Amino acid sequence: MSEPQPPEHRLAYPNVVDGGTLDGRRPLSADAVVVGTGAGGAVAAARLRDAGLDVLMIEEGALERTETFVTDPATMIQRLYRDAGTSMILGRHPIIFAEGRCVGGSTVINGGMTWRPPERVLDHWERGLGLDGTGARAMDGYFAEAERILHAEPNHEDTFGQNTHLFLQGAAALGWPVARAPRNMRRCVGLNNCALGCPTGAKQTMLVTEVPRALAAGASLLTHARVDRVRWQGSRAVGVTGRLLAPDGRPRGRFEVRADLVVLAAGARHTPGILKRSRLFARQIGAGLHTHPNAKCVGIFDQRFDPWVGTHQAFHIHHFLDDGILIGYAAVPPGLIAAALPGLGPANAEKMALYNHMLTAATLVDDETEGRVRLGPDLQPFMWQTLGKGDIERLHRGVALTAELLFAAGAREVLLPFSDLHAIRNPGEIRRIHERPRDRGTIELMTVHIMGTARMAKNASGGATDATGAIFGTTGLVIADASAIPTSLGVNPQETIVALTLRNADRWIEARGRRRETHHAQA
Amino acid sequence: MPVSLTKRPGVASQAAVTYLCGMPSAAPLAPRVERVLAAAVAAIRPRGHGFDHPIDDAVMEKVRTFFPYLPPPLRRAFPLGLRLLEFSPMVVLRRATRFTSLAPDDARRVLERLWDVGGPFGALVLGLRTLVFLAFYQHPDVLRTMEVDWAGRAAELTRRRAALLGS
Repeated sequence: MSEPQPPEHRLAYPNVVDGGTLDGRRPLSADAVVVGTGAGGAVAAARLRDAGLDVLMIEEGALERTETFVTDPATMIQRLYRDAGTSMILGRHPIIFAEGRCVGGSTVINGGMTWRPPERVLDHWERGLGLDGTGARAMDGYFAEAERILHAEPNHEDTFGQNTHLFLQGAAALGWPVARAPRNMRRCVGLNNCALGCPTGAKQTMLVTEVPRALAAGASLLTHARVDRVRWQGSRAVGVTGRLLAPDGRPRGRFEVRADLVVLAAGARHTPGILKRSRLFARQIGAGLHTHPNAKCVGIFDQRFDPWVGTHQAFHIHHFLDDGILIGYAAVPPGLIAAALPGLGPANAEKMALYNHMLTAATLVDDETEGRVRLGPDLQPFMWQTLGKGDIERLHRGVALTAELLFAAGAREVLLPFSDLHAIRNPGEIRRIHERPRDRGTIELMTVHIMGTARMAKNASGGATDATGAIFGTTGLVIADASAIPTSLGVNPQETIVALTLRNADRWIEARGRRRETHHAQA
Repeated sequence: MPVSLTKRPGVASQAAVTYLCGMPSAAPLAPRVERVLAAAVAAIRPRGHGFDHPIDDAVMEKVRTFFPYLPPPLRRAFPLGLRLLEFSPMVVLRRATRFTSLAPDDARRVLERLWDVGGPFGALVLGLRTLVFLAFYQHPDVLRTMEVDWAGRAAELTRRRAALLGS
């Protein structure tokens, strides 16, 4: 008798064509073409299909099914990550950036955090920026719907490992309240493989929710297909063109899609890249990049506690959120954490011998400085952000608070993300973080949250898209990903992307209905 | 074309440029470059503290699997950087010798100096150590030594979840 399998291992994916098996020139058509299948694209596709549109999803990556996921980081990074995880945001302190390139997009590789943005952020959108219907009250129904789609729930206590208990212990010793994190999971069992694809199927990514739902309802999906640009008829978008990619990434054919509605959901780096390649040169396209830079600290404890056993990020510290600082923790596989520790050869081995004694915590900063996405000479988008003084100060404060928490939890040493200050050995040395010269050395930063590069605004001088996510000055072209987020959020953006897409999709459908009525009346 | 948004109509021809990015070179590294890579792996790989596993060949093989997935600029820069690394001892150690002729300890000193200097060579060392550590510490023999069994736990928890959900 075969072993029982989780339901996500038995999902059907009808109407999928692997572009890697096609060549030549392929003309396609649909009512709506959705570029990207992450938190925005998959939700947009399902919503538009629900409204009766003939929907075609285009995905650059492959359909990697849950039952094929393994725990080897190298294998999964190559299969699920864009550029094998080597993307970088350039600037004075370069930021390592990771995003998904597979069906389900970055939802397949994120930590599953499902936070609503702070109310002050939503109220600023509505009152400060004049984006009607984006305030906390107006968005409440969309967030509730997003939480239903994402299946947001807190971790069960039986998934907590010693890493969680130490994190809680540190916070309690300092009197910092903790926030129990809602995550997009259906009965997580605490494997802690979220960033490499969840083999248990517990993480309710778009790969196992909206993509198969849209497909079952009749939508189609073309994988291994990269969109180059939007096709125009005057100022009206009438489809997209792009290349079909062999499994090794080599272009092998071309495709053209004709569609009344073009939905770009390729992420906050590649959506502005497509727009720029499509001859849209408005200054706001690519501007407004926010990155939520993360800096990690590694606490080394006397006792062994096997940090890889048990879930990660079951709790966050939101106590400093109004100051733009969020603190979390994660268990990182040996091969990945080693690169973040100092030294080569024996020096690195000495630290890694203590792997089972390490708690990795990180601070996420709500960045004020705006970066930009530009096109390189190869027509690929690259990101640039030089963090301002305020953000650098906030990072130092976040690192100091994280180190304080690790010492309070019992760490005997804390490894830091500064090239000129590798470690401190007692809480008294935390002052060295505050005293560190800001103009010396570098800070090791990474992020998985970028947003705002085609942000919604009241008019074209403030952003690239209007209050429905439609590109100013065009018709038939809308954005459904983190690009459209008007400002930095300060918390993980997944739920906001879903909620904004649900909100905006309703408006696209209404507008389409109105256009059709007008067309019929004229006819 | 939506003219109202076009600030630089002359750049319209940009769109006609063939979009050549994303073409990975499937070609293997040249033997000379392979030798430099092997010397770098030997210098970077962890040693001592229970990490003396004879797995350099497996690490090399794993590192090679990454090349087709790197973005095109890196795919071109990486072999070039390794070629230049071969001659780096002349600058760093002021010795008329090649990187591949150095003992691992000396080679490590060269890499550490380059890493400290930063710039393109610092980035090369950073990239190399990331790949080597990823390949080394995730090797099954090393994971066994570290008593880390993520894969075993995945199999066990997948079964457990199926049972919990009554699948």
